[in-house]
Amino acid sequence: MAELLTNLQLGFEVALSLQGLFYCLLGVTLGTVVGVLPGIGPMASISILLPLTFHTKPELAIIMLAGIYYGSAYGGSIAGILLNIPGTANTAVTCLDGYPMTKQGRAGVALFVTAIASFVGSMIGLIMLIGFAPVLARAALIFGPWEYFAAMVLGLIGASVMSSNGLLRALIAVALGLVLGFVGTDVQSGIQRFTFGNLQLIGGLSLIAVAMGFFGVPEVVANAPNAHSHKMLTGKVTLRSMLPTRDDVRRSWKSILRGSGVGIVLGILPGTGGLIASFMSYALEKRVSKNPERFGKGAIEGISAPEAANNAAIQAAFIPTLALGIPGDVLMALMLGALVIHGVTPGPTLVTNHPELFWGVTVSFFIGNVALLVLNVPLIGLWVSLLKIPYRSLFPAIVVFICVGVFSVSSSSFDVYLVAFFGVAGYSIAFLKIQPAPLLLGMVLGPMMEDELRRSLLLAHGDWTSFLTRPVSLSILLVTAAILVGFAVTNIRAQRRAALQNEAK
Amino acid sequence: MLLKRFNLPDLVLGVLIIIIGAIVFYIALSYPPGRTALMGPGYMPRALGVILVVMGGILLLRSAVADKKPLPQYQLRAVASIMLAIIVFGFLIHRAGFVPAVAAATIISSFANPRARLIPTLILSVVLAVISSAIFIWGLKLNAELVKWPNY
Repeated sequence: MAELLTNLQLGFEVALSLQGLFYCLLGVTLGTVVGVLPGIGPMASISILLPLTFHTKPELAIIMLAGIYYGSAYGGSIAGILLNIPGTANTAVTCLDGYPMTKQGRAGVALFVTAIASFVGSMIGLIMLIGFAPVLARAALIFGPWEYFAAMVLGLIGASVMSSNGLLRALIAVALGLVLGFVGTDVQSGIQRFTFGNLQLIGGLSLIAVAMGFFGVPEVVANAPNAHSHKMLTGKVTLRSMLPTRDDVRRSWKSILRGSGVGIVLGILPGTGGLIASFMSYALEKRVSKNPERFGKGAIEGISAPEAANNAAIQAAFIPTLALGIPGDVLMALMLGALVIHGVTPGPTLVTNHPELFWGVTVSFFIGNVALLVLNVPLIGLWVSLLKIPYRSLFPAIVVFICVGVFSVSSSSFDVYLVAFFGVAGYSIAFLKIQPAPLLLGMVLGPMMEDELRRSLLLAHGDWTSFLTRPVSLSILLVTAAILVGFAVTNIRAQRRAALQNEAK
Repeated sequence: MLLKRFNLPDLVLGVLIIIIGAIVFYIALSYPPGRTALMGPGYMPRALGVILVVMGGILLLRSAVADKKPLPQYQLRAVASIMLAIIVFGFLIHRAGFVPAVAAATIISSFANPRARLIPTLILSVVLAVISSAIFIWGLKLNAELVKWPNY
């Protein structure tokens, strides 16, 4: 207990330093601004703003990145509630009941509840993080390459099962990502792979370029042709209209707690994170509710639970990311990449060797969430006015920021060309209904997985059953199998139900 | 047409993935595979090439039995404009400087919007050049020259 207090004190020193506060607030503000802008979802916002974080020390960069995430998630919710623009899975869920609330004139309440739910969800997730991450880090010290490999497989399978276009497509995305991960120099043999003699590719594909290409560009390409008819906001949102009624409060506080629970569980599992937690929590609320027909028409639980889930999941997803070095979801993969670029390797050693980083970041999550609440409630009018920027002027600006952002990381035109290439590729595969998130996860995890796999097989003299004879590795693989089985069963049940309904007609 | 009996997104994707998998496998043949206990650089890439081909094949089969679905609209003009804008940016930033690169990228990408008009776009390019110069070069000390005048 005393150790926890000293750690927290260390964290507060870092987070409450002038620089720490500045970067935290800067991140939250930038994130909200970019997130509110229609046509840019949280993943795209983070990809675009990521280069800005490279100009500072690692702990400040992560603090800023986390702020950017909260800000852009909240900004995206604002756009979803007010304009029914679904940027990502998270905002898509928020739109379902948020937009009807706007039509009923209750936009203010929706926005307020969103802010509160996000805050509570984050706090609960944060408590988990503080409690579990050091424990997990210590437990992970017994992890050998078999366990790491198994955990990464769990992550990829988990992410694929939850994907909305079906398991096969998600697995294809992962496989494509793994291939992209091969590009570069093979660590063990020194041989260059898939580089086609290009000097620029020796170090591998730039994560930023690929992320921008797969997340940022396709959104612009898809939205630009309709730029003139993009929805515009009318009407005002006042502070007074934001206060919820007693009925609202009664309905929402339980849903917030349930949502946070869902979020924590999904966040800790490698491979699933905030993007998935929202959907699951919405489904849970609908099933648990006494009048499920209210959903889709402005039920307040329909936004409070997913928001809480999303935020709790993000916090919880930091646990495997920071303690094990295995990203909780795509967002964490980007953060992991950012950390690596700064020369910090997350993993069990992080908590012990860089305590100022871990605890500073943890405390700043707390401050970031408080800041979000404090900033966003009064400033809601400001964010709303940002929604009035016409998309036809906005999208070229997005393109410019993408270009400049990528260029600012390495001053290399080649990386910019990569963005163009992956932009086309990204749009084309999105067009064929393949999602970029599992792909990027595969790309980040690929080299690590190959490394661990090689090491395990080397140590086991080529014996594949070594994965099953080691208890921890076996249990992780069993969880993976359970997820796959659970998925298959749910699928079959749903198909059977649909078939029965068809027969009954 | 016969093709309309298929689930087109699945069909096109399946063919594409099979081709990609085959290419990956082919390239991977030039890297030594090693053996299981001592994996070479070619081992996993070959495995992935095969896996991709198999998955593409499954998709192909599925496209024949699943519900017929057409392909959504592919925004070729938008893709071309934005891709060109990014490439031009990468080309100009070292040769002509930051401001021309930003301006060119703005103007070219505006072609993605079929209803864009010339004057507002030109104004936007100037505004963006100014704003991004302020943020990135002055504010963040980006390593780029504003304008590279040709040497006489």
